[in-house]
Amino acid sequence: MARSLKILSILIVITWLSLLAIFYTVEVVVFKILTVSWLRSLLGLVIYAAWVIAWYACFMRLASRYARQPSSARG
Amino acid sequence: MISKWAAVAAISCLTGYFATPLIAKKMRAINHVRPDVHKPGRPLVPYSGGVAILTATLPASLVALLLGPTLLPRVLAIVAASVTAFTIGIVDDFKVLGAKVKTLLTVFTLVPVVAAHVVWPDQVVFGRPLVPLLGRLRITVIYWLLLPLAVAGPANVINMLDVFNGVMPATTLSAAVALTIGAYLKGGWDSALLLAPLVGALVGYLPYNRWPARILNGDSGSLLVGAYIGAAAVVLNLEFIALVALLPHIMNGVLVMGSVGGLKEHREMKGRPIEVLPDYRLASSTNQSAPMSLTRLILALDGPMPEREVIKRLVLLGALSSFLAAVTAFLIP
Repeated sequence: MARSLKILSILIVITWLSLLAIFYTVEVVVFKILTVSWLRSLLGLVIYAAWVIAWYACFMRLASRYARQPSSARG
Repeated sequence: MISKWAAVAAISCLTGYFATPLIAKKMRAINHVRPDVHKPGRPLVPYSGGVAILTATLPASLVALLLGPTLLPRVLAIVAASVTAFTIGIVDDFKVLGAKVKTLLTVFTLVPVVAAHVVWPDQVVFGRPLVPLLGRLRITVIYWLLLPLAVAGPANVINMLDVFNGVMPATTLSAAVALTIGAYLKGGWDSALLLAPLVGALVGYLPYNRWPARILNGDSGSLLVGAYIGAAAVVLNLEFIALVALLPHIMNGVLVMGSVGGLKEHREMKGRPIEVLPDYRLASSTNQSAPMSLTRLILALDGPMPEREVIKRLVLLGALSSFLAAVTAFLIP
């Protein structure tokens, strides 16, 4: 299998799994622990936002590492 | 009933299959063509394939409505949202709009969906997305914050990955199939019927857009299909499935916007993410300030390759995401 397909497939699967995990964490764990409505909403928002920022930072870093290099073997 | 779904999809497919060459001929006759920049000699190819997709989906949507009259609010919302997106796209195809203006205008594709929610609140329900393992959530703040992007988001990210022959119809076809599975599992064939016009239209249209393309989609095609998927996801509460199915498109959108610092037309960018080599293989750009994209990442990882190989990789990534989206549908309790 091509290297790009391997790396991007793994990235897609990890993104999918982490999406499932973050929804489950917020909706089950956080909402079970906290009873105050506004605090639950706030913490939920913070966790979702943190996930988006972390995913963005990781993805851009990975892309920069590979895509800023010119293609090899231009032949 | 599956027979209704098949009938609507067949009408859409046959209309798309027979209308597309006629529309391509008409576009060539009025000299509405664009160079296919990744091919030797940069042949001029008829543009605005969205006209063919709209020609296929509209009559099929009407038939879907006749077969399932209770679908009226949701069919109206989807059709109105996709026609709005098509209108923005066709204006852009003929007279180029700026990236920011175009994106801002696509936010208005949500208006028909919101209108349907206001008029028929029991049938077009907001803020209750179906999520795997958890079922139907009751989201308020985050949902309303993200709602403006619900239709404009898919429309724009699909538009941004519409860079090679066949990639848009092939990847959105697999996403539409995943949404169909989700709609069937959660609402039966009646709900799945909402996606039959799109699935059929893409099946009928794809043979003409696949490599080497005989018609190019234009913004009219990609915005129309993206708005259709976004509106269908919202009215069916399948936003999560759409999000998973469109992951490659989202990744590409994030790469492009993250690297150029926001919304920009390709004419406004410093260089192109990829280069066409003298032997017409594609390569990752050597220009360090050129924008990043999913295609550039693929070419940087695998080295230069012919256009068809890039298309294969993008379609496979779309198929993987759609497979995960279909798995997601089965995980919804």
